[in-house]
Parts: sequence; structure tokens; C-alpha cells
Amino acid sequence: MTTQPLTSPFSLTYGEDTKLPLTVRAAAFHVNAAISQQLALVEARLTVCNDSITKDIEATLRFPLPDSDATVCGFSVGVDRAVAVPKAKAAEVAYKEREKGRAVATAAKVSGATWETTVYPLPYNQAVEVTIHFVCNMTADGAVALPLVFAAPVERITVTAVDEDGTAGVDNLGGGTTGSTMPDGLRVRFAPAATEGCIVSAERNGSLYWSGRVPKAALDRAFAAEHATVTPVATAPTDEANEVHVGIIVDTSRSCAPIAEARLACLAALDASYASCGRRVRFTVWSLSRRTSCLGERMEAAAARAVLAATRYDGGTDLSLLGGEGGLLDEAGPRGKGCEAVVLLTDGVNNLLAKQMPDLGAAGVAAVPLHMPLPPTGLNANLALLRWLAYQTGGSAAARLDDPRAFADAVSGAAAQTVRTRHAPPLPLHPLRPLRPLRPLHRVCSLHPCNPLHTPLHTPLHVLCTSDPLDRPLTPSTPPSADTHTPDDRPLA
Amino acid sequence: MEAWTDEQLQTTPDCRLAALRVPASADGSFRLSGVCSASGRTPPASVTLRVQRGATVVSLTLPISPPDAQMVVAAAAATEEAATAEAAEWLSCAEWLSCRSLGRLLQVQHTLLSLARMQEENYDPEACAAAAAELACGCGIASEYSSLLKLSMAEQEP
Repeated sequence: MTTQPLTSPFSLTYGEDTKLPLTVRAAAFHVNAAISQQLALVEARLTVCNDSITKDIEATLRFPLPDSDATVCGFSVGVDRAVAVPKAKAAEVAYKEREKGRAVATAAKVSGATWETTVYPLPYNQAVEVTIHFVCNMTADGAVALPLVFAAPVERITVTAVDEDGTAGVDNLGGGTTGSTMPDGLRVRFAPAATEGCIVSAERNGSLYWSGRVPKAALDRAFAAEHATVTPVATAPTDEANEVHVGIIVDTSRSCAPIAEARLACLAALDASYASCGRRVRFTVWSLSRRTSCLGERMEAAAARAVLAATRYDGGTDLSLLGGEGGLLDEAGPRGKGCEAVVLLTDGVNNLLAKQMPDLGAAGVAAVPLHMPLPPTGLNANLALLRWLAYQTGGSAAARLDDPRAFADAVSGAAAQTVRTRHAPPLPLHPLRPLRPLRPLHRVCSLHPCNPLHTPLHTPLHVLCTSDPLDRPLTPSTPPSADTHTPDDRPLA
Repeated sequence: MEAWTDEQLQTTPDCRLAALRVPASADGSFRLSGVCSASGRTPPASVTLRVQRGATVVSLTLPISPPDAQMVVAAAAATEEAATAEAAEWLSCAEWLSCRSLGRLLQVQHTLLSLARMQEENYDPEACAAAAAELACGCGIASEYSSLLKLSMAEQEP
């Protein structure tokens, strides 16, 4: 079987109009793969030469990457290494340096997976080494594929590859070749990882980095094992256990009037979705504008719909009423009405923007997940705020109000989507340091100490931190809840 | 407690949040990453995840392979090449090894995952862009927020 030769966007040229090709004398590729992560760090070192123009020239290098997700993480010309600077600053510096007539180069993504940069100076008949580092995903079969085809045969090409275990990879050039354009590109294959779901770690510049990837197969096995160990319930669930209490917070500002009908459909979809899970849903409805009021408690879907349909949309929105102690979320949570989930129907458009942001750091505020259907396309909405609220509470802001059933299934759990609901890291061992506020709030966390001085390995430690850790003391708590990992912990390897 | 107050400990997803809702990627897998100071007493040994599918919840404890073994292997493989003259000319040996090490790979991967996370945990796009640019520049990568700039003379410091 003959393979179609690759058409590669690789080029090394001089001149804006004529695009005179320059010579690549040698190429050396090194692939450092982390098979278990399906990631690879590739180094491409090209020895280029200006053998056409009898003066120092600036060449243009276009380099193809495996895919558009690949990230260039290093670039050097000779001994000069590029530094990373903010984009605006890079453009500014490059402009000023060119005005002064001095050498400067920036690397920029031109289209999808092609990177373009300038190489300067390229003296006449003098070899210059251009090196590019990039990180890319490996293919599903454990290979790194680089669609690079040289315009003219390269005198010497070498390839080395090693994975995290030190095993060498096998490439389609047999480790190297001479006088080739690499017509099939470069493809380096590695043996499959012996263990899946393993986390690899390595030190760099005084820091310890780790990275993990849990493949779908490992997740499927874990869920299958969980299903196999679940004992069937002997008795039918009681009505109380079968009932789910959902809080509905309705933004009744004037800007939300156009989506009033869609909200009624959303309510019906929630009822139907919970019913499909064999659960009966009761709604407690609050209105939210510049003030809040409870419109009804533990209502059936029909009653909640009637209340929602009678709502008058007018005035502005004060989203700060959601947060803080005594706020709507606190009232809906375990310290108040005890809702299992809260659905917030809003466009996220706040009258005073950042001055009226909800305080989610207060105790009990973010104890229940906050789900928000994204307003329909075309409606003015602050999607970043909605996603932030969902992120901070473990809720969702992905499905649109246009598709109420998809949203309802995400809330009720009818959609069998696999989601991570907690991430407990190992406990690093450091002296206490003052904490800087990285994000607007930190709340309850579950930590996993690996310090033998504290608790045995694989025994999670739950730490309760109410509100901002900068202001309030941390209170360790025992692991009492059903969320503890202890009974179900199992190594995945 | 120490982990909670350790500003050098960063994970993606954020371990300091009580509840997460991070969907699996398109291929059904989960990715995670983290960083802490390497000068601590004992390196971390495992990470625990809680994963939910429908109503079923499972907890997975993933062992972290210690960095020492990997470093030895990588260093041994790389040192062989580092001995070549052209490599020595290109960069100093230590710097050269560092650029192509597993540590660099994991550093870049952690930065990329953190950049993706930042867009969710910031409601202010400008604040997000500023923080992301700082992170990307600190890692030395070209991204949506940063460019690689090559200068040749000392007086060209950006």
C-alpha cells in the first residue's frame, strides 16, 4: 500500500515576496514522552544556513505542530533563548527594537497548528542552530506524530526518544537518516504504559510537579466494581427518602422578562427529570431583584409553575443578596430550608457589577450546588459570572435554557455524565506560611495527608475552613460525612 | 492544615474547594496536576479523587510515583547525548537537560491545565487575562496570553 506524501507547512524562507528557500543542513529530534499521561515534550533542533544571500538576513520559519493544542514552550536561535512576555509587551518591544535596527524575534501562532517566527541574524555561509520545544498530546495508540516534511533533502536527521520509564521509542526513521525530506513526517511510537491511572512526578527549579490522567477504561472499571458491591435495598424507600427538595431562585429583574416562558419549561423539565429517576420533587421558590422574597415552600411542580407564571419582572438585580450569612443561598442550604440543589434563573447582569458580587465565603453559603441554565444565545448575559458561581459551589453552568431537559438531567443526575466532585491532594510538608488570597473564596476542603508524622498514608483528613482563611482560624473536624473517602478508597493501579 | 496554608501547593482542579463539578474530557478521561515546593520533608505519595456518574460515586486513590527514579533514568539517557560537542555548544549541559526533562513537561502541563481553570474561577475577564499572562510568562510558554520574544543583546532586556 502506498501512502500519500504529506504536504507540510514547514518552510524556512527569506524575503517577503520571493520567499527564497534556505538550506536546512541537519535536524535532530528528541521526544521525551510521559506515556501514562499521553503527553510528550519534543525538541526540534534545526541547523540552518544562509547559503544564498551574501549578508546577514532575517529568515522566516514556519513550523508545523502535531495539533493546535500543542504548546511551544521554548525557542532559541544559537545561544539566544527566547523569553515569555505578555503579548502586548512582546509586540511593543519587537516594534521598538526593529525601529532601532536591532535583532528581535517573536514566535506567534499563525493558523491552527502552524507556528511562525523569524530567525535573525543568519550570516552568509554560517550554520545557525534553531531550537523549538513544544508539548503535545500523543495519539491514542501511544505515538507522537509530527507532520514535518522538509522542502529539500536534509543531510543528516537524527531521532532519539525516551519515555518516563527510560524505555526508548521507535521512530519511522530508524533513529536517523541522511539526505531525506522526511516525506512521511516523523512518527515515534512507544510501548503502552504498564500502569494506567498512575501519577508521574518530577522536580524542576525547586518545585515538585505531578500530573495524572485517569483513562475512561479505569473509570469504567471503578464504577463497575462499585455497582457490583452495592447490596440491593431490602425495603422500598420511604416517601421522605424518595422526595427531593430543590430551591429555585428567580431573577425577576426587567432584563429577564424575555426568558420568562423558557423558565416555565425549565421547571417542567426538572419535574420530569426527577420523575425519570423515580424521585418526586418539591420546589421552594424565591424571587430576587433588588430585594428577595420567598414565594412558596415545598410546592409541587404545578403550584411552583403558577407562582412563577405570576411573577412580575421589573427593576434591577442585586446579586450580593445571594451570598453572605442570611443570604438566599444560606437560607436554601442545610442551615435553612435544606434544599438538595439550588437552581438560579438569572442572566447574571448585575446593576453595580463587581460592587455587588455575592459573598460565597460565608459559612454555609455554598453548601449546596448552584445550577444555572445559560440564557439563550443573543440575550445579554454575564456568562463568566454564572460559570464562576457554578465553579465555586460545585454546580453546573453548561446547559442552555434552550434545552431545558439537558439542564434538568444535569441537576437531577439523570444524565450519566462522569464528573469529578472532589479532589483531595497529598499533603506537602512545609512550615506554615501566610496565605495570600488566590481566589475570592475558600471553603471546606478535604486534604489527603501523606506525612507520616501526621496520619497514615491514604487516610484523608477533612479540614473545615469557614470563609476566607486569611481572616478566620482553621478548625479541623473529624470526617463524619458520607463524603469521606475512607471506606471506598482503593488504589487504582 | 499545612497543605491548606501552603501557598506553594497548587492543584488543578483546586483541592481547596469543597465541591467540584469537572466533567470528563471528550475521551472520557480525567486529568489532574499539581505543584508544591520540592524542599519539603517527604514527597507526596497519592491523590484521592471522588468521581460521580449518575447517582454512583466512587473514590479513587492514585499513587504518585516518586520523582527520583524517573530523574535518574531521564538524566542517564540525556547525559549520553549531552556529552556530544554540539549539545555542549548549544547550551550549558544543565540548562539543556532542564529544557527537555520530564520536569519541564509536567511544569508546562500543569500551567496549561491551570490556564484553563482560570477562565472558570475568575468572573472578571481582565483579571483572568492578567493572572493568566503572569502564569504563562512564569512558565515560559507561548499561549493565548503570552509570546516568546528572542532578543540578542543585553541592552534589549524587555
